[in-house]
Amino acid sequence: MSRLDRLLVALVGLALAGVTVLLWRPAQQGAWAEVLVGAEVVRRLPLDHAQRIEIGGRLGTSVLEVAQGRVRFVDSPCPGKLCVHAGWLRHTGESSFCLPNGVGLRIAGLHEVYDAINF
Amino acid sequence: MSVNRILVLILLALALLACTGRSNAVFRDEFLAMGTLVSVSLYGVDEARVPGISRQIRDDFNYMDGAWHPWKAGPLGRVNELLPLQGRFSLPPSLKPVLLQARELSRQSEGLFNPAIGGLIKLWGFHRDEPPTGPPPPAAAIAELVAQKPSMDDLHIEGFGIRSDNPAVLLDFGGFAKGYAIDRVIERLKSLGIENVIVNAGGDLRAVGSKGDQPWRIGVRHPRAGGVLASLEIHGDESVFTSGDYERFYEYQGRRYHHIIDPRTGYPARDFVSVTVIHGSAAVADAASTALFVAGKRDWRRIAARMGVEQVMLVDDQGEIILTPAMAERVHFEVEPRPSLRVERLP
Repeated sequence: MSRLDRLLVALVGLALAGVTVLLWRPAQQGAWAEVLVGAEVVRRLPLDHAQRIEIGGRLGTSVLEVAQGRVRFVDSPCPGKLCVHAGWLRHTGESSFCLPNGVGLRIAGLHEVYDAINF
Repeated sequence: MSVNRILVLILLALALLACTGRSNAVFRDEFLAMGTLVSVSLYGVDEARVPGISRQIRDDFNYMDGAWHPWKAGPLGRVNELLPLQGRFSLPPSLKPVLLQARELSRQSEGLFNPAIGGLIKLWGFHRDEPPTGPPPPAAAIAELVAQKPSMDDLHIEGFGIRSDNPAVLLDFGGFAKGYAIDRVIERLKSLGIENVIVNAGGDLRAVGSKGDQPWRIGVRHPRAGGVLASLEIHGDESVFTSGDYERFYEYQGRRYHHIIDPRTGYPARDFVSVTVIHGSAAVADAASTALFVAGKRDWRRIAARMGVEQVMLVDDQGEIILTPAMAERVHFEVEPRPSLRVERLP
C-alpha cells in the first residue's frame, strides 16, 4: 500500500465515521421552538435559553415559556385551554396550537425525530 | 492505478453518496382547514411542483370543509334543515358517497359511531369551532333525544333522493369527515404521481411511502402528560387516528365533559381517555377510533373485529394501556418508567 493509499483509507475512515454520527445519532431533543401566528413562523426561540414571552393573537395574548430545553403555553385567552393542557413540548416535530387565538408552537431541529405527531 | 486504490475510491464515493442521500428534502405546508391545523409533508418531489400541489390540497380541504359543515350554509347544512321535515328531497351529489360510507361504518359499529346524533352534539355545544364552557345540558333534554334513537338506518336513499323517517336525525360527520377528507386528498396526490407524503389534519394522519430509505416516524402524544407516549414507523400506506377526551372538552364542577358522546346514553363516554387505531383507510380509522372509544371496556373488542380493525391502542381512565397483538408488535413506548401494558386478543 502506498502512502496515497493509506491517506485514502484514512479519509474513507473519517467519512464513514461522519456518516455514522449523522445517521445513527440517537433520538434527540429539538433545537428551537417556532412560534406561529396563523400558519406563519413569527419567532424562533432557542430551547437552551429560558424565557417567557407574550405573543399577540386574534383574541389576545398567549404566554409562552421556555425552560430546561422545553417549551409550553402558560396561558392563552381561549376558553378551552387545550394548548395549555398539551403541556411541555420537547422533541422535534411536537406541536401545540391555540386555534381560537391563532398562535402555535412547534419544535424544530436539524434532525427531526418525528415526521408527524398523532393526537 | 492499483486495485486497492480503486476500491478505496469506490468506498469513498459510496460514503459521500450516503451523506448526500440524507438531504433534507421534506417540504412541509401548513394551513387552517376543517377547524384545525392541516400539515402536509412531501418527500422526493421536485421543489418547483410544491406550490401547485399545496394549492390543490388547500382547495380540496376548503371545499370539503364548506360542503360538510353540519350547521353552516352549504350542502350538509341544507340537508340538516330539510331532514326534520321528513319529506323526500334531493341529496347534493357530493354528499352521497360520504353518507353511504358513513352509514356502512355506522352499521358495522352497531351504531356506536353514529353521525345521526347531530342533535345531541349540538345540544352539548360541541358543534361550534369553540368548545362550550358548561354547564352540561339539562338531563331531560338529553333523555328526550336519546329516546328517539336517531340512526343512519332512519335515512332512506334512492338515487339522489333522500328522506328521513325520524325527526331527531341530524347529521354531523365529526368522527368521520377528517378521515374521509384525508382519503380524498391522498387519492388526488397519488393521481398526481406523489408517492411519499403525510397528510396530518389536527393530529390524525395518513402516511404514504417513506422518506427515502427511512420509514415515516410517527409519535403518538400522551393523552395526559403531554409529550410523546409512543412511536411507530410507517413504510407503505397507513392511517393513524386517535380519539381522545382531551381534544374538545370543558370542566364543570370538577368533572370533564368531552365531545365523544355515547349515543346510548347521550353523555360523554367514560371508560377510555384515548383510543388509537391504525388502518389503511383514514375514514375507517376515524370512525373506528370514535366507535371503540364509545364501546368502552366491555364491547371494544367485538366492535373492532366487526369493523375489520386489528391495530388498536387504548388508554383507560386509570392510565393502563391496552394493546391488540398487532399493535403491540410495532409500537415503541417513549416514556420512563414504562407504562402498565396489557395485550388483549380480538375475537
